[in-house]
Amino acid sequence: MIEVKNLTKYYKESHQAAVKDASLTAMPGEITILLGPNGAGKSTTIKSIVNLLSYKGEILICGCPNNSLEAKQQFGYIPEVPVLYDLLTVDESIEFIGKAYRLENYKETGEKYLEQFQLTEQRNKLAKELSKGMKQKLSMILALLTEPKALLVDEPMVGLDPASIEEVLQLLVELKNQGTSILISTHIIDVVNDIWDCAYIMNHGEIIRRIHRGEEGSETLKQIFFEATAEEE
Amino acid sequence: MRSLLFLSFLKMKGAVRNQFRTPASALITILLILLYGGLVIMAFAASSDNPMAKGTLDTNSALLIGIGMTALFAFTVMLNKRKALVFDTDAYYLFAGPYTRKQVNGYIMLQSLRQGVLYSLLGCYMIAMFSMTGYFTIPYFLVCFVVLTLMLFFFLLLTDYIYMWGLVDAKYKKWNYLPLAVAVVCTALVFFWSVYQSNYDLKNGFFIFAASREFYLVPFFGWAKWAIDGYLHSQYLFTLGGTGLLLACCLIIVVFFLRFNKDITEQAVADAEEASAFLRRAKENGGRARIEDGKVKRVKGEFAPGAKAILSKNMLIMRKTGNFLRKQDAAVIVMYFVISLIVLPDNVFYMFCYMMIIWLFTLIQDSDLLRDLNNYQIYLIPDSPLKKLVYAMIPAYLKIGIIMSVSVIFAGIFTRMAPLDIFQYLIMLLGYSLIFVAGTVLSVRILRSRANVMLESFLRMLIILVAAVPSLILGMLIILLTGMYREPALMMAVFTVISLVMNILVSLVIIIACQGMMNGREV
Repeated sequence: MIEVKNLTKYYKESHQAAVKDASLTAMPGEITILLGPNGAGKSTTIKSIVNLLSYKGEILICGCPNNSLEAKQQFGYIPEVPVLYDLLTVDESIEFIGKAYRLENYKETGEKYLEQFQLTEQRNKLAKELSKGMKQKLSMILALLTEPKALLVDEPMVGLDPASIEEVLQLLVELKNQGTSILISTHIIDVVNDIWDCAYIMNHGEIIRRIHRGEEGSETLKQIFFEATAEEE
Repeated sequence: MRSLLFLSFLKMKGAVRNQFRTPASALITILLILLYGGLVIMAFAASSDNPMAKGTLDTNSALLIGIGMTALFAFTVMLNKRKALVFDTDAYYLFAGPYTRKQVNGYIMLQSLRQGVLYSLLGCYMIAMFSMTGYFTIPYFLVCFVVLTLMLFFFLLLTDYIYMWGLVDAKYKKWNYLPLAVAVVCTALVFFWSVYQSNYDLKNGFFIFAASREFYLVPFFGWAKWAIDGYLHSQYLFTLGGTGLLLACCLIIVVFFLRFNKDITEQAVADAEEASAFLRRAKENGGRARIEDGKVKRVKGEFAPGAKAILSKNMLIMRKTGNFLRKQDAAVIVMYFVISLIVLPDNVFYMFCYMMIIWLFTLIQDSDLLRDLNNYQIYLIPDSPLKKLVYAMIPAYLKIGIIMSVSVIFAGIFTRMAPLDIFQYLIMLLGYSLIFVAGTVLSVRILRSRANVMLESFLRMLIILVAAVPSLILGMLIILLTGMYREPALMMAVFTVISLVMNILVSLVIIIACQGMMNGREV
């Protein structure tokens, strides 16, 4: 489970709160989405949860503070722009994470995901030689290698082709069914329309609406999103 | 054409505005202008108006250094394999826009002229610095500026011209080597002639070479020197002759360049895209080419478990890129040694050791450590932050330590220093290397934001310097209080030990204080 309580984040440069007093929960076995227009504070929230930014508030991952070793062992993070070691091959990147996290079955898990993401033939290529979509896939494999109990995904479909998007969506549902807490930040509602369980709508750094699947009534999630953000404006 | 000129103006305005976009960036820009401008004004104020004035280097040597640097730049541009006429944004605008080929060529030519002016100023700056307390006046500066600009403009435009023909047919790329071959052969001939005249005494040979009239026979560079020497000796006809030759070359290449009319758009745009992407990556890396852009060897490596995997990864990357000792590091160290040999021939070893500290600054800006601290993955590794930090630092220190040791020992042996002196300086420099690596970590911890690379580099230097201050102060205090300065050998020995111990202590304090950053806050 991912619990965020009263998260506030100021950037020094802008002197404005990128995230204001945001609280959210991503439950195990659910896909929680963080929706919002550009600049709403979604990526800042995700980066704060994985402890890559300083912030005010409290963040727990599987009941542990997000900066603890226990928490680090239990979450996976897929950034919006894949940040890989360009000079490591696909196999070496997997081995690096496997060894650094002291994972016992990383070879088998890596093999499974390489096949699933159709990267087996690219395994000896350097990360810098991969296409944008392949880099995104490798970034996902590295995050999933640890078999995380909580998965944080920032704009996951950027750079992926339609077939790969479909694969990723299926994979996310599989992980959800295995009990993983999944938090996805996105502004492309159509892509996650079929898989979300809980949605938080963000605008101007604030969470302005929380909605569970089934609560939307006759409206679509897209309509709710546009209404909520329009009211804010 | 007016819209193209307006584009040039807007780009320049944008570049200036970018330097002043934040108060910190504006402050640093102003400080740098004041610093470099102040040095130039100092050169004008402190120098004499007598060409025979002796400074740290004589006028001839200073001039040769300026011309040499300009030549080095011209040849680097000519032999650079990653070439493009313009950047990608310009390429789309120029080649897809409503412009004739002559207008496009004219715009590219103006760019070369602007670049020539900038690098000519840099050449003049070098002449000014090496003429400090020697001869340097405003008219002399103007003559140097005009001559160096003409020389650079010719080479830059020639490079673009050969590049364009190279796009038509790859065989024309070989033309790039012709001017280099002519200049190198002519320079070498004059140099050997000078050494021969000095009975093979290299040092005197160099001075004869610097002053010889035969040097004027070297195309372009010799003509440039002929023009400037003519001014120095009030033989203005020679100034006119040298400048005229350069101007004639420029006019010829301008005519050929403007008349070039082959279809090269597709490859020119592709090259512009590649060169622009390369430049963007280099900018993100503080203005230096990334090791990732170089050749990569296919070697395999094992990864140790936990935080030690960071060390395994970095060692593997070093083996793949040969980044442990790069050609440019070796070249810089050799250059420092040669400079020490020329500037302070009686104390080469000491000067070289102090110059190695400058090398430390340049190396640390380009270290794998900084690259590592840029990747979120190491922050998420579930292991002790102290271990992660230490394992990330080890490759940087190993690299610096080994290169430093080999260079200092070699310089010591070459200059026939006593083994104890070599050992003392080596130990002291290794201590400073440690503080430089730790200071880099501290700078990442303090600066956090990586928005302004120039500002960050400047502040990093400042932080590293501050970290090195305690050992200097304590060393000085003890030496002054105990009166050891009366015995230089003992003073040096005590200073070495104090600086080593203090640098290790300060480094440890920094590492322990900064370990928390490896948990990942604000990267």
